Parts: sequence; C-alpha cells; structure tokens
Amino acid sequence: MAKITIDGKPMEVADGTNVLEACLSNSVHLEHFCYHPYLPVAGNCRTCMVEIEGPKGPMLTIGCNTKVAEGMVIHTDTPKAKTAQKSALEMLLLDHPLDCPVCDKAGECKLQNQYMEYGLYDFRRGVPRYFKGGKAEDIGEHVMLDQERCVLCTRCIRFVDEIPKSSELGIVSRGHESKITIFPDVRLDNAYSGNVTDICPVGALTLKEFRFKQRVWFLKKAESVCHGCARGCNITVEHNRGRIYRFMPRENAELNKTWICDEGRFSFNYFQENRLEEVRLGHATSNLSDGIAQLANLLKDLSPDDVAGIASPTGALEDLYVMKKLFEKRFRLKNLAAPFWGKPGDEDKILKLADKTPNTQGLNLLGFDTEGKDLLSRIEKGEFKVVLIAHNNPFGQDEERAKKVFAKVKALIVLSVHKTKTVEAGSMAFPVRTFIEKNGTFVNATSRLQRFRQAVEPENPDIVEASLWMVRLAKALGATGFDFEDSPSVFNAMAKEVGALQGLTFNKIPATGKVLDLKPLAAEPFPGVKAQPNVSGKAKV
Amino acid sequence: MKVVQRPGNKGPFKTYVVAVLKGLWLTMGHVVSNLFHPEKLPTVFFPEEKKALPPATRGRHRLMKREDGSPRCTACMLCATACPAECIHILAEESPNPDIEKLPAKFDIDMLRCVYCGFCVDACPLDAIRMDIPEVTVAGYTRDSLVYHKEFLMDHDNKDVVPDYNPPRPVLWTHGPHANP
Repeated sequence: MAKITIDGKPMEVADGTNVLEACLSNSVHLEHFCYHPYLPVAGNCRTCMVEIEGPKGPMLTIGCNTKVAEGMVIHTDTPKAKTAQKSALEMLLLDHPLDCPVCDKAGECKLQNQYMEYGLYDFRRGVPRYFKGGKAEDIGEHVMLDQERCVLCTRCIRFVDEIPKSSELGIVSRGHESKITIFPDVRLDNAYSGNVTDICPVGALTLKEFRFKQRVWFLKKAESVCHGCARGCNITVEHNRGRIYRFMPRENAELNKTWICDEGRFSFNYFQENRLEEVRLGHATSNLSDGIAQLANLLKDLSPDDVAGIASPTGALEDLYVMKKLFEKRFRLKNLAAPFWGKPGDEDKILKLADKTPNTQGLNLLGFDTEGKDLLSRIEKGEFKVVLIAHNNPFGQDEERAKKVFAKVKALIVLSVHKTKTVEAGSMAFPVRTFIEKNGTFVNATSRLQRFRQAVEPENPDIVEASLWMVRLAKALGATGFDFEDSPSVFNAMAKEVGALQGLTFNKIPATGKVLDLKPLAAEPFPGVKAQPNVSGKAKV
Repeated sequence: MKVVQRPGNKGPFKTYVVAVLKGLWLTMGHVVSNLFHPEKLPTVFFPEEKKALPPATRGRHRLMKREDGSPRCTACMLCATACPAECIHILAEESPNPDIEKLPAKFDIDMLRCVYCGFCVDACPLDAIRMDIPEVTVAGYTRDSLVYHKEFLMDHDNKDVVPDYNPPRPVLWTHGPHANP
C-alpha cells in the first residue's frame, strides 16, 4: 500500500495502481477517455491531466499512465489541471462532425457525456473545419467505420492487438489527417470484432446489426447471461416494445471482463425467430389448460414406470429441478436423463467453448445422467409409452438416430422454444419461454452460478416457463409439494435442498455470479492475457 | 341577520310576462333580420363551407422535402423521443446520398394517439416536420386510415401553407465537404 494525497486528502492505495484509478476508487472524479481498464494504457487523449508535485514544483502529467508512489501529492482541481483537462477535450471535439442526431452512438457516447460534464465551452474554431471523409466504410462482417467521428483513442487497435491478437486495425497518415483504417486486403472479421463497437467511445465504429435500428435511449436493459456456450458470459439484454435489439457484454472482471464473442452477441435474433407459438395436440392447436388437462388424463392411466423424461442442458437450473422433482414424486427418477444430441462446436483459447449449451454444469449439480445411454436403449426397446422431452431437440440434431430411438414410443410430449423437427415429430407440443423471457440461473463451465433476469414478456399467455409448466402438470396429476409461483421461488426451494447452493436465495446471487464447489469443465478464460492489476470497477469501460 | 328583498318581483314582473315578451321580441328580430339579410349570419355551413383559420394555427403534420423531393427528415427520431403520446413510428434506412447518413424508410404518425402538442416540431433539428396544414378535422372510417404514412405526409408543394407565417428556416447544419465552416 502506498500513502498518497489527492486534493489535500490523505489516502492509501495499492502499489502499482495508476493515478487515474486511485482517484476514481476514492470518489475523486477525473475525466478519462482513451483509458480502458482491461486494455493496455495508451495515454493519447490527455483528458486525465493532473498536477503532481515534484522537485521543481507541481507538474502536469496524465493520470492513467502514472503509477502511484509513496508520498505522492496529486492535484486534480487546480486551475492549471482544470484548464489542461478542458483543452484536451476541446482538441478532441475540434474536427468532430457533431452529427449526433444521426449517430447511432448518441446517448451512450463518451464525447457527448464528457462535454456535458467537463466541457461546456464556447466553440472557438477560427479556421474552416477539416473534413477527413470516410463516412460509412464497410470494414468487416459486422462493423462499419466512420473515420470522421473517430477521435483516435486507439482503443479498437489495442483491443484487436490484445484480445483476438489479429491486429487488423492501424492508424495511417499524420497530424490532423491521421485516421484509423484496416490494413490493405484485410477485413475486421475476427470472432470478437463486435467488441470494438462497444469500446469505441464515439460513433466511429458501429454495428451493422444495430445500425439505424433503434436509438439507445429507447432501450430497456435486463441483466442476463449469454446462452451461446458453456462459458456463460455476462450480458445485458437490450429491448424495446417486446423486441430485442442487441446483446451487450456486461462487466465481470472474473469471467468475460467486458468482452463477448460475435456468435453470442448476434444470437439474439435466434430467440425471436421461428418460435413455437401455440399448443399443439396432434394436428390441432389448443390452449394451455386444455393441453395440460388432456396430458394429465393420458398420464393418469399409466403406471409410473411407463414415462421417461429427457431434459436438456439448455434448460435453466429451475426447469431441471422441477422436472427432477416431478419424476421423483410422480414417476421414477431413474427414467430421467439429459443426453445432449448436438455436436460440439468450435472453440478458441479466449472465451468460446466447444460445449454450445449453457447449463451442462447445472445438470452435474443436480445429479442428472448426462450420457443417458441406458435410458435411450430402454426407450429404443419400447419400455416406455410416453416420453417427455424438455428443451431438447433430438430430431433436429440427429434425425436418423432419434427416429430409431423413439420409434416404439406411443406419445412424445415436447416442450420447445422453437418450431423444431422434434415438435413436428411429437404428438403433443407446448411452447415454453426462452431465457430472455424468464428469470433463472445457469451454472457455467467454470462452475459459476449466474442469474439472468426477465427482459420481455411474451404476448401469448400460453407460453410459460418450463418449470411452471411442470408445476401445472404436477398439480393436474395430483402431486403435492409443487407450490411454486415463479422461478425465484423454485430457486429458493432448490437452494434449501441442494448442498452446493446452501444459504443462497435468488436475489442474493451476486451480479457477477458465485463460484460453486464443483469440478470445472473448462479452463478459465483469457490465458496469457496480462492481468490488469488496477481495475477499480470505477473507470468507464 | 338581514333579509334582502329580491328586486322586481312585484306586479307584472312576478309572472315574467315582460321578460318572455322581451325574449320573443329579440328572437323574432333575428328571424326577420336573417330572412332579409342572410349574409350577416354568423353560422358557417361546415363542412361545405370552411372558415379561414388564423395564422399560426397548429394543424395537421407534414414532412418537408429537399429540393430533389426526398424527405428532409434524417430519421434521427428526436420527434419520436419528444412525443408524449408515442404516436410517431420511424424506421430508418441507409441513404443513397453519401452526404446524408440516413433516411426514414417508414414515417408513420398515428393520429388516433396524437395530442397536437407540437413537441415534434420543436424537437426537429432540420425543420423537417411542421404542423401547419390548416386542417383540424381529422376523421376516417377505419383506424388504419388514421395512421398517416410518409407518402401522405409529404404530399404537399413544400410551400408555406399559411402565408406570412413560419417562413422556411434555412437548414443550418448540413454534413459534407460543402458545409459551412
């Protein structure tokens, strides 16, 4: 720990912290722009100017690239420091086109925010404005570049050098003519390219998928967890009027930092397209209560041994728990398994994992059989009359095998989000909600229990959470102990029974998740990336 | 407590005969004058006949056009943001003109929701939307017919509808190499 003085107040900060983070973590506001807590320091925007006392008196220097030292005396609000901060911002805005009304970044633009917070000066340019040109350049599969809006903070360059290590971006020309561009014959097509648009503090890099779609101030936000793979990166679901417009990474210093892969980022359309909207009973459509009543009638006459269940690692922990409980109380627990039929996807050494399901570790936590070979062979032999498939899609993943396995089953009950081949093959199909439409929890590959919150409510009231669907079925079958109102209450009941979740309630799960005592299925992300020792969580990312 | 006597409630006034006769005299006077001088009638035979609305009437919306006939609107959605009734629905698209970033692919105003507050006009940085078409009777047979689309809102000659009022403001800010420094 180093003892320093900021604006006359003595403080103690960890060794190796930079002056900027030291100020921010002690509630001293200091403007910063090019500094990103998870990227190397470049120190080119010069807005975090402070005065540090030295042998020749107070000297101006930038806060982000200066490490604290014992006895350092820092001034952030002297007239000299204030003028330096303000003129740095004025320089950044000098050739900025100020096309905020048509800029997609407006509303979350750091230049806008900082002008309102620190600038508020009169425009002083005496010579004609220099126009760099280069509006709306297509530089990659997902990214558009506007060189005029760029303020050369080099965050994007540092990102592509540091995280995907693909280095597609660079600065050409000098002085006021310098601009960010892609290298000749290279396009910004790495698997993490979307992140450059998040860290771009202005509207220079924008996402094609979000371009002109919605102004950011209309978007409502819900904390969530990416559904794309077992990594479970933290995201924010941003939606308006029941429609999802984008997934944005949410800061979690211990997991995804502030990055997500493009596959996860652009998966939001997958959850809005090709949805199963109605209850299907054979070829007829019906409503939920009739469907549940008909299913309960069918199941009432059967012996508990006649029903098998197939869960899925794409279901939330709550869905799996209620399904397990249903089989425990009403049927046989040994007839429940969660074999996943999909093939492993591509993985890399940064975030992506081959397991493209979000909750495999959750199955392990609740003690599900994740292979299910025994159960499948028994289904194939014709031991079961009814098979309940929740979230799983065997016919879509491996149709030939699924046809063989389920050939002798009389009734296939399918709970599905999408209109899958399994829905077509099933004798009854019920629509259920995606993770965007419900509250719940996933356990990721590194055994981190993470909560996701509901973003939108489906228009059709027949689309319910799989857990609550099971509760309704259990009640229709006369089973007791299923007094759950919603997913949080399911979680709270589960936390009392499952040892690893002891003492937790749904609302007590930290926003960044809680690591459970389970054997991790994958290594921690970002091996070999330099750890940032001075992340205070206070710097704007 | 002092009791105040009502005035004029004695004699012929008690039966209101005088008041009734006075009223009949006035009415008959108007009947006779209207019969012989119909041009003095204050009644307007709406909707066949319409009164000229005063200047600065806040009427129906219109979308202003550029010289080439394309909409002046750049789909910045500040009007939709300012709208308290949430009646403006805009879908943006890429503009073919490199000097203009975006254009409205769809610009719908739901007149059933509009409260005629005029905030959209105030919010517009490009003077692209005005509420100066002197029409205050918005009616239709279906709900859909009262959602005004871009084509309908732009179906005018771009002139000032109410003369000597609200002269066209120059577009102060334009993007591109020809913009004013």
